[in-house]
Amino acid sequence: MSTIKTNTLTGTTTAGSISVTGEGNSTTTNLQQGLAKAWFACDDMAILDSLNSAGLTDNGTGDLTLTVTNAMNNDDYSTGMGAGGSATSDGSMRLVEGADATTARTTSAIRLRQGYKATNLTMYDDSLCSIQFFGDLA
Amino acid sequence: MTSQLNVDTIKGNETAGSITIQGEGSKTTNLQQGLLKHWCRYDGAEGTPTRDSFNQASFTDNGTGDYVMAFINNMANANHAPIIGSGDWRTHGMENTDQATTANTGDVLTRAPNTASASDCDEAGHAIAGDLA
Repeated sequence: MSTIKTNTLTGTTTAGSISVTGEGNSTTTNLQQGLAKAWFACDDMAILDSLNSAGLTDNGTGDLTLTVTNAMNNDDYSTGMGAGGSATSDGSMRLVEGADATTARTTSAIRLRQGYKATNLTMYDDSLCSIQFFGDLA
Repeated sequence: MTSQLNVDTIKGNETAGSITIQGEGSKTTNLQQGLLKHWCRYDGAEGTPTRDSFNQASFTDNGTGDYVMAFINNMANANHAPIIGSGDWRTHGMENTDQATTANTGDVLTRAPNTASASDCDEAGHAIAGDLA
């Protein structure tokens, strides 16, 4: 068994690209591409914990914008979300992207709405919400 | 020139749990912080729900649509960031609620969107980012 200790990992041919052998021991995957570049755990319009966070903006009830410190390379990054944990009992909490038809994500910010009920989303603040960013860093 | 490093374990030199890694562009990110610490693919309608998983000690079915996943290596606190996905052909999709997560567990409630009632789902996944203990 061998152990390497290092503070920084950089690709030699391409600085931002390192291959890692996968679990099946035959194919490889890309280390950088497999990393979440940002994540936020929030509750009641406050950030509980995060990676690469520049902050949360409270735009109003159930309406928030999350901003990252190191921007993504483009706005085509993939996001995964989770929501819940509220005191409401009349439907699942939902977290959706965009406040209206004109609000587009950028490489450094994404606007979200959280609320409950199956139809006609009722905006709501006091809820757990989380999001992860996957894609290329700038 | 391509170089290859054969190694079983990677640790930070100054801080064991912190390694900086060059991103795809000019910025860097943190290797440990970017790794998912748990994931699970499960079928809530099955007697043995877990299809595959990482860092999962057990999966408990607490009732219709109510699932708790316990970790092998616990998180540092309850402030981890889960993402949840699920579907079910019988209800044209499912809704998910992240319930009372702890440092040791992820807790999900799935509901049918047409009734908002708790419902087992047969296609679901759960993944967590955050700090390991």
